[in-house]
Amino acid sequence: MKKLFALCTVLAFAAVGVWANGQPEKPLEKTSKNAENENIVLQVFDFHAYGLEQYAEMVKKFEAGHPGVRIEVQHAANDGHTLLQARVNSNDIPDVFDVESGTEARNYYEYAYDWSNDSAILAKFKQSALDTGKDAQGRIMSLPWTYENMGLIYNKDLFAKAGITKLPGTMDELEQACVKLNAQGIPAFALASKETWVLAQVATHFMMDKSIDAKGVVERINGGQLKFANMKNFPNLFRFLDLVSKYGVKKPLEVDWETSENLIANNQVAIIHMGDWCQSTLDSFNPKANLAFLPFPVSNNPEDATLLSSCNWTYIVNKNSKHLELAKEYAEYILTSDEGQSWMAEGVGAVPGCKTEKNIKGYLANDASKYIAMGKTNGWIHTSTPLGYYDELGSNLQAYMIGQMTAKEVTENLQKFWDESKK
Amino acid sequence: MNGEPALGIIEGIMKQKEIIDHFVFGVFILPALAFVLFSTDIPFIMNLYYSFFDWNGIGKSMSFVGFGNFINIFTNDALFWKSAQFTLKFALFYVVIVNIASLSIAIALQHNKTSSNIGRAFYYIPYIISLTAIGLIWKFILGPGFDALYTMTGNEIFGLSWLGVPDYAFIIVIVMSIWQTMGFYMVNYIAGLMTVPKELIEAATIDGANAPKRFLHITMPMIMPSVTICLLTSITFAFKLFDIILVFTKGGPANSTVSVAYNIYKEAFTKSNYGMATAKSLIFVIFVLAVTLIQIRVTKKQEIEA
Repeated sequence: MKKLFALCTVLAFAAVGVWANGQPEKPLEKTSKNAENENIVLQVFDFHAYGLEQYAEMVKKFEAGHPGVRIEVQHAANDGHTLLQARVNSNDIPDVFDVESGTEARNYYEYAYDWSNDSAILAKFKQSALDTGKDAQGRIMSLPWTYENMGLIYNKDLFAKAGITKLPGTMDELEQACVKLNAQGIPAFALASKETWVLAQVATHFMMDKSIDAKGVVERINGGQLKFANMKNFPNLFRFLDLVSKYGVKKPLEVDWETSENLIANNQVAIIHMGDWCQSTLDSFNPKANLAFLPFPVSNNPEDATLLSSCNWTYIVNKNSKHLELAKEYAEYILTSDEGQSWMAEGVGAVPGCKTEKNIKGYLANDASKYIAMGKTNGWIHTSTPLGYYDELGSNLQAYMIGQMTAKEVTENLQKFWDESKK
Repeated sequence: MNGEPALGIIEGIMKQKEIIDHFVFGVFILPALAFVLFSTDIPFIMNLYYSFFDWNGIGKSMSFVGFGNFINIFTNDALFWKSAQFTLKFALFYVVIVNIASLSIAIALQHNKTSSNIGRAFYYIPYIISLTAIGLIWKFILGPGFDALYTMTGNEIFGLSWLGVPDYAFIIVIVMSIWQTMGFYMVNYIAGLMTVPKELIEAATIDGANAPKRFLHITMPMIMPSVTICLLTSITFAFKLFDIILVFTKGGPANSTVSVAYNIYKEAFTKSNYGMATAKSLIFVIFVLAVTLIQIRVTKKQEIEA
């Protein structure tokens, strides 16, 4: 009996530990299903945790326009991927949900409604935004949310203080700027090097080839025509990381995303790498921060310096939904209606993927649209990589920064990972 | 002749009673059994099944790959073995230190005085704080806290990048886990110490045994059941180390603090390799099972009845 007890205990501890680690908490608002049988409940899953007030407002209006319909939204910013995956596995697929576009979204497309023939709805979106929701056959399986732009973000006040009048466009100019900043006692960088995803996103700037854009780069890496070792600007990634270690804050590997945003918003450091999704966090740290985008210098040609811009989130309507028409209407409503546009443009502060006349609240997004107009943007590579790319490359770049790996080893490892994991 | 039928009836009644007893016993364990069955055993069997497939965890289609996942783990997964190495190293340090430390504290705080009550609360509080809060506390200590101490004292210890260097990060993970869980083991040991009969200690004192001898020959054998439990829980805690890593180090720097459980989680939910992840967890369960069975066998032998 004792042995049996011991065995059970061990099994319980070990197996629960291993299996249940990924098990998320129960969906938040799952009450009174039986009580409202005659009413329709639309299940919505949303990754975003900002602009919540506007979102609630939007839901209220939709419900008012559709008597008897209740929208059940689960906002899951933390560990959302795990949660959504668990819901899909347990056949509790939300009627409308969003995922990251690209490689991740394609895993979900077999559940997705095909929008290709709904031309009236598609006409409301910008073409480049719609392209982010296409599957391998070019069908439109999901609808875009907002544009997100990423690159270096710099603190204008600190640049002025250090006497930097012209924005650096080349690696050499960037280093000169660092020297000037350090001379004033200002750390040049607080790159969030603790986050593998930040390092891995930084790396994509150095993979970019302006002439073929993100899509071309990914296709050629997948096809084997383009090797990381032969990329023109890729060696500069390591030069950039050297600059970060040399001119940046003292413990670079301890900087997480929050710290890096806090430091730049409070005028402690001059440059970070992030996207305009951090606008609301920046505002919460210091609403008066004087920040702007700096197209990422990746070579000694200023033409190569760009921001990377894409519709990162994409909304899927479950094709097996019991209320398919309503789900479609809801997706269209949140992504294109006036209320939806205010949610995206004012609540979140980003440029919607649909055609819009709204003013955008966030200064970063407005700043980015300047560069979009000038043609100084490219698409995103990191959403089209094999899954696991962040952890693989990010941890290797950390190893490079602490001297455990050489640039050559990191490059070879990345090539090996990509070749083995691409599908 | 007269006695035999009566005996038969009694035997019958006894048997009936036994059946009823068994039934009652069964009813009592049923809820627990159901929980274990649905939350552990059935998933475990499913785990076994999935480990033979290549599946992304989302789609409806899976392809059978036989032992492909296992072969892949043994031949082409350096990170898994690195994480296994880390977990073993962690388990060794953690189990030894946490048990010695909590036993010492339990001995110091075993008597029912106000001071020892305060002391117990002091050591137990970290165990009930939520991990997110603990993450914030330590982030503060190692960040602004150490920075301020460094400028005040100039001591190099505070100037080091504790989370930026693999060896130091390992120390931090050890210290954090011990600090967080010590209170739990302390309570177990105190409970054990309270069962040690005073008379035995007194008798030994009269016989001339000094304190270390009394501890080794009387207290230790008497609290062996507590030791068994504490060892078992600390070993399983160490092997399934996950939340501290997820909240605090995220496996970094440079994958130096990736534990096996964290590696499995990443495999399943970031890389969407469900089959691989289940295969890994299976290997892991077998390993943990073996270690714990050996541990129980060894410590059970040391236990005595009071």
